[in-house]
Amino acid sequence: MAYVGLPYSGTLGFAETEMFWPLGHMAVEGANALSCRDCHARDGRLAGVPGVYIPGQHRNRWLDLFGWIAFYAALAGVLLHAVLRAVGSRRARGGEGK
Amino acid sequence: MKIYLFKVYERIWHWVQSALVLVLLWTGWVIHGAWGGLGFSKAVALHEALGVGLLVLSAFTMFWHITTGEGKQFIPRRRGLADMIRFYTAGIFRHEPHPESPSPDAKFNPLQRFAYFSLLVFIFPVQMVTGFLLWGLPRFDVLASLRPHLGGLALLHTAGAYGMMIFILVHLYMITTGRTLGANLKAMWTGWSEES
Repeated sequence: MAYVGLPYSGTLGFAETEMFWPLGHMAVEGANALSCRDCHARDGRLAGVPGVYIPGQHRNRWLDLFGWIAFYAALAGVLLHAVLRAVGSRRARGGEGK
Repeated sequence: MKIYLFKVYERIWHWVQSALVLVLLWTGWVIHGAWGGLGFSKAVALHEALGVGLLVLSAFTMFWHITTGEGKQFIPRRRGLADMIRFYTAGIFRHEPHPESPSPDAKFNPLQRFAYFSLLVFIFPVQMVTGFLLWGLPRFDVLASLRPHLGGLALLHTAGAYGMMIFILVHLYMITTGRTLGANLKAMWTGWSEES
């Protein structure tokens, strides 16, 4: 204290201070943690953020539409074919005089 | 007359591949968000593991077909194709005999060759390449330049899945068009086909 030219009372002590440490690293407790589906879902987080592809959230509506149309068309074709076969085999059995 | 059509390796390959593809389709739809069951992280883990499994199985199968020379069975041919189409669009309804009878040297009719060859040159390569890239893009910096195309790759991969689903549907139905409803299924399971 003599060095800085200030008077010195001769007594020492501790000053009371407070300090904040972000020990949780800003993470929330487990119960509030995110799961995959919070983002990987149709209306999940980051919805509307451009330039990012998130599986489960983004899709091409036209591809899904035409994909399912093609699948159901194939299913209808197969079922129709099966019905025609069944009719054909019933007719064949009838012809043999069953 | 009984003939031995499908050897042990072919049958193991066919049924393991069937199981892999079915579970890949299921987990793929879960990831796509079209199916809720199983949960996202399990579906991704299973899809990736089975995808690697399918790549390994395909490598072995490629090796088998090259070394045995059996790969030639899948090369399409025009001869007999018109007869096959006529049979499936008309003859089959009148109980006409099948225009082709399989032999160990020519197991597949022209229509089968055409279908399996398309699967081999279109759907399988597309699914394997796009699938590998979708898995590898976030992992390898070598592939960093492809990262902006993730959406396009996923689109192709999804389109391949629709193609595969339609193939399986028609394939399952065609099984029933053998000599009896269960004859083809039995041949694929035991290897032996009963021909009249």
